[in-house]
Formats: sequence, structure tokens, C-alpha cells
Amino acid sequence: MVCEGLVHVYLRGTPFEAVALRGVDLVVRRGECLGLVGPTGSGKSTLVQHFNGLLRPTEGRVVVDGVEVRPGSPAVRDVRRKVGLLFQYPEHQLFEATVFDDVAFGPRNLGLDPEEVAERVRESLQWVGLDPDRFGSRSPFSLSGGEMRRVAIAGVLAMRPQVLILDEPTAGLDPAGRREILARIRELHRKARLTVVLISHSMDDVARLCQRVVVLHQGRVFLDAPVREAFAQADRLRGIGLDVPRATDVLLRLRAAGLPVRCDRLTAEEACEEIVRVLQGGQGWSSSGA
Amino acid sequence: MSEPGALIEVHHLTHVYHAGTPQEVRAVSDVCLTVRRAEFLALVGGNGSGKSTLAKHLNALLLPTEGRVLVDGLDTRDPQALWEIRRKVGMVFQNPDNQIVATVVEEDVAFGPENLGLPPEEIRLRVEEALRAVGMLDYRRREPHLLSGGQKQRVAIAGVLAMRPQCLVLDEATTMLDPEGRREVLQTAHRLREQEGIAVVHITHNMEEAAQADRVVVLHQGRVALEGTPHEVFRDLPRLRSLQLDLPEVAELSWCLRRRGVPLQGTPLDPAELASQLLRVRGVVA
Repeated sequence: MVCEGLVHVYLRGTPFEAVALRGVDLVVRRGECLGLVGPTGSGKSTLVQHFNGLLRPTEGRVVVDGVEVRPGSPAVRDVRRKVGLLFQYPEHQLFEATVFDDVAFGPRNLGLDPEEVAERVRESLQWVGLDPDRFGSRSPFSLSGGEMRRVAIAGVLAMRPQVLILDEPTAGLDPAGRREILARIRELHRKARLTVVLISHSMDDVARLCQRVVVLHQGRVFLDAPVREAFAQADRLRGIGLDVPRATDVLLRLRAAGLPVRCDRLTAEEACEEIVRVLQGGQGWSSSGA
Repeated sequence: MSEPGALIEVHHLTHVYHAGTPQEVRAVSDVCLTVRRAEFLALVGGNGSGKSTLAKHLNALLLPTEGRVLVDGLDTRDPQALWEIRRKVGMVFQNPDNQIVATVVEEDVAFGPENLGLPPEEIRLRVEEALRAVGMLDYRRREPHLLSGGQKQRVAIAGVLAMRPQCLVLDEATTMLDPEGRREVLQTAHRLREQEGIAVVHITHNMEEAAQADRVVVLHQGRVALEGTPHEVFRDLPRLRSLQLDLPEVAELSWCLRRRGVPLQGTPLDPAELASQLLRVRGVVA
């Protein structure tokens, strides 16, 4: 997916005119997992709605898999099938009487025969860790928040997309639900080989899942770097109101105090190994005492 | 039997939904809990742990199936005490978009005091005071639907404050907000606790937020599973995982380090605290 000089202005020519994107150049490569972060209002949601033709560029262009995306053009149907977009709180959009019917909604609209539909529903539910026999006949509204969200993801997967774009997929979930969703996304990326774009306010989630991070700020790309390089630039990120993963924060403080730790360690486990390595590499802690 | 400093006392509370039907669910089982005056209490637990059911007993939105709840000495089962209890304990809910009733911010905040039948002068005073306390006085004439999520929640808090309550219950009130909105709401709640002496019960599954409380109560399957200061509660990673929870990121790092033999004192919960302990361990002056 490629954006070139993408500009988007909402309600142009009215008193409510708002410039959301001010010239974004971005390439999303096949098979990567990209984290898209930025303060509220930085243009993240606007940007991703161009990837499946929900919004029309005011200027510039968007190309998906070699085809330019223009709302209304015949190619858009094809693009929507390739690029699955999951909005925030997607469980609010569940509406069918059973989990099966909800996941089957998209494939049925493609005019697939019932066996093919059933096959896709089973496969999609399995990808999100819900047993089709146990959950298929239940009402989506009898499920927990985390389960409902997995049903919504299954509904997108049933279209067999190549790209999965998720807007805040862990928002509002409890820690167990959050871990489950992140594990499923990781599996879809690694095993089903989907290209993933993850929009998140949680730097810890991005650090755990993504290889590259793109930071948007005021409608422009502020930073585009491998995830470890990006989070080592804590000052730049904090300057626009973003956090760094909290484990990285500890390392940055140690480094500022003169301890030779590497700051491109992002999770608690990685940071722990790095601190132990440096403490043991020096005179250790047994001789210096607490 | 009343503990000194107790504001809300929950005695052996059990709540059963749909009792006597096939859908019967025991959401809260034999819970004892005290909310002290002017404390900041975090109530955490996974989905289905009973935390919202428990919270709704704190101002008589739900009544006990068994046991009882006393608010400043008033029994929530006493219909005569209902208004007094709701005035003393105010709640703010999860969704910022469905708690605001008026089309102008100050009218929304005035809704509660008007229902108390207070004189207009008194209402005006309270609304102004409440909006100032949440940092929203400049927005008094705005339309609520044009505010951010964090600002809407602060208006909802102001609506509670205008009732001059003793306790503010935030029932997942930060869950749907972005990081900035969360910070706004939490800073407001902490400030009210410090300056006005209002007790805060913050229901959340964000462990970073729970780590900032005075005391943390963990619910699991309708029962109190753990209770203590954040340092006490966030000491044990496997135990919290078994309760469907997690450690705050820095507490997890502290836990890993201790397991590798690094001598840490307590469970450092924030980056500055952990870094300074590690520097001391290393013998470097911070």
C-alpha cells in the first residue's frame, strides 16, 4: 500500500473545514506489521480510511496492490476485499442473531455458496480462538467484551483479506482479553501471513507486536523507523505528547545516569536481561551492596 | 462495629442476578470492604469479576441480595435514606456520550442541585465551584457534544461535585478515553481527594492507574482475592495472572529483576523509583 502526497480536508469550503492530512508519503510493505501512533487528532483514522476507499483523497493518491484506490471506481470493491478495516469498538457493529450469521454476513454478500460460507466462518472463528461448534449458535450479545471483539475480527477475516487494519483493538478490554487479542493478531501476522497495521495509543502493545512504527503528528509523518530506533528517541516522542514503553523509560534513566545500558529494549523481559547483563558486566551487585 | 474513618461499609455482600431462574448468576459473593474517608481506592478485576456490580451497591443503584451496605451510617436498603445516599456517593460511568443530559455544560451540572430544590443563587454558586474544581469553568457555556471525551467526563464529575458528595465512584470512567483524557480525569480525581477530602473509588482494568491509588482491592469471581497497597498487591506476577490481571509494566520489570537475584526493596512501580534503586544497587550515586 502506497500513499503519495496524501492530503485530506474535511468539509472543504465550509466554515467547519478541517485539514486532517497535510501531505503523507508512506509505504506499507507486504507482510509487515506496522504500528501507527500519534496523539488524538493527528490523522491516524483518516489515513487508514483511505486504504480501503472509504475516503477520497483531497490531493495525492493511494495505491493498493498496484491499483489506485478511488471511491466509486469498480476497483474499490476489490480493494475492500483485500484490505480489512476494523474500527474502534467493532463489537458495537455486531447485529445478527447468532455468531455464525454475523461472521457469515460478508461472505454471503460476495454471493458465495453456503458450503463455502460455512467453511470461511469456521476458519475465521478458529483464527480468533473461538470454537465454531460452541460459539456459532450463540447470540453475540451473550458474549464477554473480549469475545465479542474477536467475533468482529472474525467477520473481517471471513473476507480473506491480505491486509488487516485494526484501530485500537485492545481498547476497553481487561488484561486477559487484551493479551488474548494481541496473541491472535500476532498469529494472524506470523502464520496467516497477513499484513497488519495496528493503530494504538498503547506504546507497550506496539512495542510487543510491530517491527516498524510510523508516528503521525498534525497530519504529517513525524517519524518512520524500526520500532527499536523509534522508541529510543524518547525526547522527540515526548515532545509531541507521546509516551515510550515504560520499560524503555527505566533504561533511558539508567543511561542518563551513566550506566552503559542499551535503550532499544522494549518489553519488561528484554529490559530485565539488559539490566542484569550490565550489572553483572560491571562489578555486579554483590560487592557494592544495597 | 464501625471502623474509625470508615465512610462506606460493605458487610458480607452477596448479589444474585435473576435469582430462582435458569439464568441465575451470583455476581458478588460474601464481600466485606470498607471505603475510608478521603482515600483513593482502586477496584480492579477481570471481566465478570463483579466489580461493577459491587460499585452499583455503593450508592444503592443495586440492593444486596444478602448482607448490607452502610453509607456514612445509612443503610442502602432504607428507602427513606435513598436520596441522602445518592447525594453522598456520586457515580461517573464508562461512556462519556450517554451521561450528559443538557445542551449547555452549566445546565448539565445544575441538573442535580436543581432537583434538590436549592435556591437559584446557591445553584449558581455550586455549578461555578464544581466546574472550577474540574478545570472546566471556561467551557460553561459550551455545548457538551463538542467537547473531547476527557472533558465530557470532567463535566460528569462536576455534576457529581455540585451535590457536595463525600465519595466519587468512577465506574470504568477512563476506559474509553485516550491517554490524555485519562490523565485529565485521574488528575482531577486525585486533586479532589487531596483538596476537598473526597473519597474516590476508581474501577479500572488499567494497572498503571491502579498503581497510583492508596489501596488496591482485587476482585475475582465475585470475591475479594487480594487487598493492600499497590506495592503489596503488585508484588506477585503469577498470582495476578491467575486472577486474569497483569502487573503494571514497571512492576513486571521489578519482578523479573528480583527473580534474577537483583536485590530490590519492595516493588518499585514507577520508572524513576526503579531506576534510582538500581543505581543504588550498582553503587552509582543517583
